[in-house]
Amino acid sequence: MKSIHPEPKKRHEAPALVWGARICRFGVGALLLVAGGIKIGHPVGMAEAIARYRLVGEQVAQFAGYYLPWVEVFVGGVLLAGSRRSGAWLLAMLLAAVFLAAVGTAWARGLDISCGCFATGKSIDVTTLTTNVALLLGTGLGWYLDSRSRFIGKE
Amino acid sequence: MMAHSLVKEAGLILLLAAVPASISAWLWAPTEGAMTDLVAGPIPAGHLDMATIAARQSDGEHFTWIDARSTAEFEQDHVPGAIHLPLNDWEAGFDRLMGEWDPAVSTIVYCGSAACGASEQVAERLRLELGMGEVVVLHGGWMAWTEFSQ
Repeated sequence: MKSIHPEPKKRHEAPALVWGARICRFGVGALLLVAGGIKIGHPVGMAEAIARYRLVGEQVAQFAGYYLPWVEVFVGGVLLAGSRRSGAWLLAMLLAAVFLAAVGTAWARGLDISCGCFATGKSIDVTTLTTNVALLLGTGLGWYLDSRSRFIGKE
Repeated sequence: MMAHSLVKEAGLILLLAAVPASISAWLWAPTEGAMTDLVAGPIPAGHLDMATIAARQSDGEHFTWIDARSTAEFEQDHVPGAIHLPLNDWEAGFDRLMGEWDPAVSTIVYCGSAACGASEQVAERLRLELGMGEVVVLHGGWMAWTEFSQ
């Protein structure tokens, strides 16, 4: 006998929500893990790449050159592992926002510098900007979808 | 409560990342002033400083100068006779270079300063595409040129 109660909307949207959240989580997690992993062996080069943006002083650039790649690795690792990941989403969004602001201002100022996004060789252009915008959108969307899928108890 | 645990989780990640970062800083300690004074350090392979260039010029040698800076910077001022070849307008710049290039003449690439990376990228690409002749980077870039010319 057919139920007179309509099926809750949540149950229909759950699979798409869960898979969307998973795709964003694994995508952003892998990207940050690889980007950080490439740079952790070259902290001085990374510090130089940061200094070339001319946004921070030498001391801050050196600190960030050693520290940022490891933050990327840990954030990416936690997102991939999946446990206690709300803090990782927050940090991923902050990282993406900072990267986009740095690349955007460098592009606007016409700086002929290396991006420092994955390795030191790639210069800043429209592709770099687009990648950073996509990373920020991906982290925002991923956080939203992941929070919702956990709220309805599907993840 | 939720915000509290969010910040707590983020803080834990930042703390954990600080451990290997500290070890990394201890293993590969930066040299003092390494980035603010890149020009004063040892000249890397593939670079020439202004003093060497001037000495070679006084011996009668000529160079092909390549300006790898932005169009605005190039239009503002550049080394006399320099060819504008930025990475983001490679085809047009490379055609200009081919009109004047002589494999017997060394090519010097420069960008804004020792802190820019475009000259090294342009020099690397020129070495690959030209396949012959000396292609070097002006150590210290445009800043070194202007300081030397004063």
